Formats: sequence, C-alpha cells, structure tokens
Amino acid sequence: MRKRTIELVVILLAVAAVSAAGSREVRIALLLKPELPIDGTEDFYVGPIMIEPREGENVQSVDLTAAREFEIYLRKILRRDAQLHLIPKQSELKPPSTHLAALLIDGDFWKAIGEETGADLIVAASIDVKILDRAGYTTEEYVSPQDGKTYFRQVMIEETGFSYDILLVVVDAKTGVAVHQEQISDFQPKNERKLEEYTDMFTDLYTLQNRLVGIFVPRAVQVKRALYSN
Amino acid sequence: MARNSNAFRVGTLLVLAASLFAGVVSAGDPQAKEAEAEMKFGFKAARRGYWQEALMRFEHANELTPNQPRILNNIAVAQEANGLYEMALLTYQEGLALDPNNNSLRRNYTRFQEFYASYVAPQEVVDEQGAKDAKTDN
Repeated sequence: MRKRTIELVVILLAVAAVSAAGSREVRIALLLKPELPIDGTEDFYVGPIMIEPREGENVQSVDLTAAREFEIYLRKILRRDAQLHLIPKQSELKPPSTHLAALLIDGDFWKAIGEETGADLIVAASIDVKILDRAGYTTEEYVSPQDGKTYFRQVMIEETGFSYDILLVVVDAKTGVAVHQEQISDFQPKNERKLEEYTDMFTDLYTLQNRLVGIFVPRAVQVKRALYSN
Repeated sequence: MARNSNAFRVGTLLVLAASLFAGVVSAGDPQAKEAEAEMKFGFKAARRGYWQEALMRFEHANELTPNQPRILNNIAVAQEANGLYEMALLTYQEGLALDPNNNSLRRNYTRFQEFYASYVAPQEVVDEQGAKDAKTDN
C-alpha cells in the first residue's frame, strides 16, 4: 500500500515536471497596416464601376446586375467597415473609355471628377463576372488504408455559382494618378437552380470583404502560436 | 523477484523525475533561475495581452541564458505580436538553427511563414514598387 502511494506520488511529480516544461498555445492578433497610407480625413468618391469588356461578347444582364450590386456593396463596405467618408453619388458618369486600364492614363478625367465632387480620392473598379455551371466526373488518386496501394477513383465535381474578377483602383483626385491597384478574385457558390436569379451576389464574400477593407484600414489576423511557460 | 521489479520501477521513475526537475529548475545557477523567472513573468504578461512587456522579459531571459531555443521561440512569438515581422523571421531561424527538431519552434515557424507569405511579403512588394514608381516620377 505504502509502495503504491510512493509510486503514485513519483508518477505525479514526473507528469507535473513534464507539463511544466511544455509549451502552451496562445492566440495573438497580428496587425496588418493598410495598403494605402491615409489618415481618415479624406473624402472618397466611388465610381465609375465598369464592366470588363470580353472579346466577341455583348454585355449581358448578369454583368449589369453585378456592376450595380458591386457598387452598392462597395459603398456599404467602405462606409460601414472602413468608416470612410463617402461623397454621395452626384450624376451619371460617362467615362470616355470602357477599359479601366485605358482610363487610368487619362489623368484629366479623374481630375475632373475630383473638381466636380470635391473628393480627395476616387475608388473605381472594373468587374468581370462569370456564371460557372460545371458538373462532371474527375479522376483522383486514392491510397487505400487497407493495403497502402494507390488506386484511381472517379469523383463527382460540382462548381456552380458566380466567379468574380475585380480590378479595384484608387486614384488621387488632385493629380489624376492611380495610387493603388488591386486585382481581387472570389467565388460565390450558388445552387444550380438559382443561377438565373441575380440576387445576393455579394453576400458573405469574406475574402473580397477582407481585401477591400485591408486597403484602407488596419486589420488584425487571429493566429495561434505555441509559447513556453517557463 | 516481484519486489525487485517494483523497486526498479520506483527507482527509474525517481531518476526520471529528478532529471526532469534538474533540467527545468536548473537549481544552483542564479542566472538560470532569474531567466526562468523572467520567462514565467513574460508568459503571464503574454497571456494577458501585454506583449511589449512579454518581449522585454523574454529578451532579458535570453541575455541571462543565451542560445536557448525555447527562449528564442518566445521572443519570436512576442515579436510577431508586436508587429516586428522581419525580426521574428530572423529569431525563428536562429532558434531552429540551434534546435531543428524543436516541435513548437517548427510549428510556429511554419505557421508564421504562411502568414508572412500571404500578408506581409506581398505588401512589401507593393511598397517597393510604389517607391520605384515614385523615383521614376521624380
């Protein structure tokens, strides 16, 4: 009986020693500075939001809806999450080109927007939306846990939804020069039967939201790290 | 026979516990004791979110007992938490050079590299490009 007690005490001591020497997991928030150096006092104008032209294809209703919805979404994100001061939309802009890349060279166009609206910075974008309706079988490698051999098996792949490719630019309204450009891609999964309904096109797109907010304000990324306690 | 095996078991466990405690506490070495106290204090500060204090404590522990991978691990984590990403990268590498098999260090370093590659490094490229563009404009 006495021996057992001693044995137990020794085991407990050993366990305590091991755990005391170990590391523990801690959560830390890593701060990321915004990509654009702003102080928060600037006035922003959102527009124009353009449709990325595709060769040999006319503009479709999904493009128009996506551009319109993206503008509403962008304004909401910039006002609510980045807490920027946005100038209300004033008049329908008529850009001299349908290519955002071509417009970027035209400094006078941006300066004119700046003079008309009083904005310090202009946020413009070009959006390319694709409806993905892909379903089919693909072959993938499979290592059997039974015998460790590699086999090939057929797997059903379904990819239905809206695929976005967005070029976002921020232009200095005083100089007409682009101060930031960012290409963002995201995918909104949609049920095959709802692909014809162009609603909620930008709901819960966290990648897009994070990237957009990260341009203007600092953000924190939560990570886990092992830390020694002694 | 059974009594002998029991005595052997108890003996082995005692040796194990004693060696672990000797390693952990490092009794007799005042600098090691002070470093351990700093590590404990730094850990507590880190758990409360006082990462500047934690970094200072871990760095002091490193001065007292240099080249300890566990201390370097904590310093690197604290540097990350303070936004000193380039320094954290070097500290992780320094720690891994001393002990490449340290699991905590390796795991932390892998996770940090993922973060660094996806968030910090692309931003630096953007900053460098911006600086180049500014030079060209001038």
